[in-house]
Amino acid sequence: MNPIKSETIDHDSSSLQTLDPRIKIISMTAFILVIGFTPQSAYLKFFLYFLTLTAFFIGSGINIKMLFPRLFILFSLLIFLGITVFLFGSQPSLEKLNILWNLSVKSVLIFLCIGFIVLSTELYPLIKGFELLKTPPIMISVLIFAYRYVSLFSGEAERMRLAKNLRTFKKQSLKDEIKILVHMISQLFSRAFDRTEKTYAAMLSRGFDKKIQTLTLFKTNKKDWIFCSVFLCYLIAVGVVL
Amino acid sequence: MKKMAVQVTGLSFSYPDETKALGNISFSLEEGESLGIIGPNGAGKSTLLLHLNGVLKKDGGVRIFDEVIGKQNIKKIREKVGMVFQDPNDQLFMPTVFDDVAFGPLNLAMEKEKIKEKVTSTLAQLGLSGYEAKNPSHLSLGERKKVSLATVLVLEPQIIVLDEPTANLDPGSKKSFIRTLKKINKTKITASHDMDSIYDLCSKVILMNKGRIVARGSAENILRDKELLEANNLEVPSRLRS
Repeated sequence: MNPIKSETIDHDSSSLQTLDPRIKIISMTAFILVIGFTPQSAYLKFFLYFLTLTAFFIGSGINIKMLFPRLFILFSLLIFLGITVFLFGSQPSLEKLNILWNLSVKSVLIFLCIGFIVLSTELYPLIKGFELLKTPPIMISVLIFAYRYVSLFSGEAERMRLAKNLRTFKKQSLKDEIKILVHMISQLFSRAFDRTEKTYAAMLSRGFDKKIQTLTLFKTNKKDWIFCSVFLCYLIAVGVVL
Repeated sequence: MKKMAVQVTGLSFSYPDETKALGNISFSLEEGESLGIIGPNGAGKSTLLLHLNGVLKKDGGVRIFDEVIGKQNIKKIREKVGMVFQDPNDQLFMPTVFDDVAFGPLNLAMEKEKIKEKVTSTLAQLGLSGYEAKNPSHLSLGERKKVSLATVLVLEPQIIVLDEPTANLDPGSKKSFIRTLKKINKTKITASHDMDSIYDLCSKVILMNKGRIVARGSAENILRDKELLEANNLEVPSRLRS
């Protein structure tokens, strides 16, 4: 099974999903900046940001459940931070509470912005969007290879696990399990290294010149620019004027 | 008079760990000929192929259309010699079929419109129209082999080098792939220990073992020599067995 494919949704189902990936990246980056610079006491603004993102999620038909596993990680981190501040720090104060509120609300909102981009866009067009926005080529290469090979390596890991299970006849201790896991990971690394060499040879033989280039087949249209302009005006109105 | 497409003279090669892979290899091939390189596992076939378009280099050992492979002409050589690797997962490293086939032409700085045209026509030639947006991971092995071939054919090379082209294919896919290869009227070098496909594709054969050439001659003569083949861990093609 392809772990990326399993999380994809129908990306043509709403006009928010069919927006040019570059427009989404620019709009959400601006949104993140506005969120970042919003004072911690601007509760109304945070509420409006939250409403805006909720509207985006509903409008693009994204199943909110897909966000929960990631939100769980973020919440765990925030709870850990809260416990650290209040249980192990010096006396709790209103100032510390405000800092925690500031950190929590902004990290959740920023997380939702990123979630919107990732869940409303297919991964490869998103990578191409970053490429066109002049993201450093090394990052683009890493993303492209991760996208192409993650399913291959997860398949290899799954086959190794199966092979191990088929030759395991009694319950193993945790120590033994860890030992086997370490061996499997080192095997995967060595296979990855081997594949890297072969892939690099294949790239060289097709004229690779230290930069991965792709041909982009998507163009921005009127709808993209209208969304971008309206959204940026909204951000200025809410973030600066209000 | 036909031009000499490939000339290999006294080629020896050892890997950095001092494993001797090739010893004093010499052969030549005229334009339009089809050469088979046969031999058991570890005979040095793949290492030899990697020298033919300069992925592995040895000064003065290999000439392509009378040009010695060197740093200064490597791009030109790779335009002339296209290599199809054994495992399509090594050859196909981009996230979509389109981008993979377009990778070579983009590195050769062809015009974008021309690249689109060439990619579309090459895929159509191999019966792969409509595969442009697919992720190579989601294709069958037979389809991936054809896409690998497309990544090379799109560059219109004069020589095609194939490493174990039929490895792991089921009989139907193997027949279909051999039919496709037969239709390509170019100089071909095929390394394999699948004697049937060598018999189908090649007119001349070189038999290698332990990095050296053991025998050479017409495919008809070498592939009928049961004693010679068995002494080198190979067997007579099924069609020639009486």
